[in-house]
Amino acid sequence: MSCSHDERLLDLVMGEIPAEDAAALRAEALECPHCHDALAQLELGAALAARMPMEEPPPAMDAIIMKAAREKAESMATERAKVAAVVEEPAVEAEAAAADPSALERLKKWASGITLGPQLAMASVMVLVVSIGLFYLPEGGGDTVARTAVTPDPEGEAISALPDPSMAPADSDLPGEEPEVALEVGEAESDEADDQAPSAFGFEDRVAGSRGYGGDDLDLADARRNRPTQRQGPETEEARSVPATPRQQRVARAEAQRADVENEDPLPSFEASNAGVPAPAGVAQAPSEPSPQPSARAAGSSYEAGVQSYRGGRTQEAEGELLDALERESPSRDVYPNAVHQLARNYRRSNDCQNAVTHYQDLLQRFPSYAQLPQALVEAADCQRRLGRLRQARTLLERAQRYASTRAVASRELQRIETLERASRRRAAPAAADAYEAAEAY
Amino acid sequence: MPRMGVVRTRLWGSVSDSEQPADEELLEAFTQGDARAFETLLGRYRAPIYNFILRSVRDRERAADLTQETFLRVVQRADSFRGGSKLSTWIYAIARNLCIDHGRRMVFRRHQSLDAPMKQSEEKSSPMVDRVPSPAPVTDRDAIAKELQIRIAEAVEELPDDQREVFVLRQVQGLPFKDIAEVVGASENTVKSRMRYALERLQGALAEYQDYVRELSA
Repeated sequence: MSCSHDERLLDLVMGEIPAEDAAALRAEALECPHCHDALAQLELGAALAARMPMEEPPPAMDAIIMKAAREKAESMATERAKVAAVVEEPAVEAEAAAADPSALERLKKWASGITLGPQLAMASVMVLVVSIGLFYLPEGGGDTVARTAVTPDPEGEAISALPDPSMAPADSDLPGEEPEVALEVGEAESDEADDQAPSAFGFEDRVAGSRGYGGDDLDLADARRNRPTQRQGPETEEARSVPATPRQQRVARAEAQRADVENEDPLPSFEASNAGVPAPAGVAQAPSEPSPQPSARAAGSSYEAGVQSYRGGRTQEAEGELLDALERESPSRDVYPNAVHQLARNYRRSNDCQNAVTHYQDLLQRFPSYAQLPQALVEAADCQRRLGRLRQARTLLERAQRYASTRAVASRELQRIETLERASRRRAAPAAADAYEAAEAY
Repeated sequence: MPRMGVVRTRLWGSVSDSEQPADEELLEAFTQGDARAFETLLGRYRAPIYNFILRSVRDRERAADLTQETFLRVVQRADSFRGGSKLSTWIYAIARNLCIDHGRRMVFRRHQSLDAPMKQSEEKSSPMVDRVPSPAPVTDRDAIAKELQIRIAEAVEELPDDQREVFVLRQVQGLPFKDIAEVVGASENTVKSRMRYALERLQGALAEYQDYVRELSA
């Protein structure tokens, strides 16, 4: 025999029923003979169960567990630091740059003083912020710092904002190479990265000096070095007087482009950055370049000299100086991974892809938290692809896809590799012998 | 029949003090690199997990090994814990799976000699000849309490596996039935049913101590 209370007796005995309900349930259960007995049995069983002996585990195991825990904690902390360094820092910087609280606060106070109320003041501030954002947004008008303020992914945008490589003039390719979309992208990217990696070549030289092709960002120092003499006047003027509005910027940009066309100088800065390459006709490279040697040497370390030589296109000199820097510097110093990266880039530019891959691998393995790791992954993938190792290139690009800054370019490159692989497979079939060429043309 | 009141379950390692950080917070701190947070977790769970395993494998050395293995797995998988369930149920599920694996292995390895102790509790208990009920009245309460503990341990080990694990999870850690259901992969009603059968069996197996227990509980 059982009654409606029976199912709840265990909960009552185990203390799972709130005290106020428990008293009433107990009183009711005691009135029913069946529940009375059942409750007594359960309580006795529970009283016995409560006396079940408990034993202490041997303490020796704690040391082993805690050793493993400490190692794991350390590895997890390192992993998080890596992610934070690569992904979160740009976002934090961008947020900080986008909304300087003190500046906003000041602006709000000022606005509330001259308008009708705090709501209007806030609205005005918002309009102002949006306007400033629009002022610096695309159309090639924004400089890197401004775009960092708008989006948490400045590098990614900079890379993804690069123009369609198929639009690049033919003479932008390196000699003796196939038309390399990735190379062009990588070079533009690496030149941008050059300016970010070493502290000696900081962001302060960046201006809104877009040239239509070659990305929206242009390093003023590079521009000064690389442009032909006859255009130094207007260019310097352009650099000095940054147009005040987007419209003025566009006008200035159009004028600059016209000047380029008139001077038959399709890609002055880009070509010069690909030094070691014979300059295209019409580009008066040597006379316009400031002599980098004295300044580089005066700048101090071999690393800086190596960077200058790299920028000046003297890859052999750059190699010697960067190797010298690596010999002198301790791997624990910040400059060391920069030097390894720069050396890898130098080999890549010299078409010594095998050596470049070796140094990229060294960089990726020894400095997993290196700030420019995503870019290094893309560059290394480019080298692997040039060496015909598509699988390795794919692996590197898939890794680069995890980072916001290189997601776009890595995805594009992965598509390209897939096309190459498909074409390669088709090429194996006799019916489609020209597919590879078509893919190459792509 | 004397009223015995609600039996308090033993809450080893559970977080009863609201000022203490929750298990999940400690694990989160651990995944952030704080090894001391894990030390706190270990302090909370080492004894209950060990006892849970001990009642299952009935061998202290193996129980220690499996407890260590349980926590090593928790360490290794800490960053994969997504908080879909309570940390306690997650840890017990790991321990239970290890016990089941161990049980499977032992099916093929168990070749005990006839004179070997059949159960863990027999290692420190008296021989069978000495365990027949004594006609002499037991007057020493301490002796009775000690003997009762041994008999309870034996009675628990005699429980069917499904009842025993529910019983031990409840008594050792004080897990709610809902959480126990999650650990053992059964419905809450099934878990309650197993618990009830376990209590009845225990009470039947230790009938000779009923008066003593009633006296203590009164």
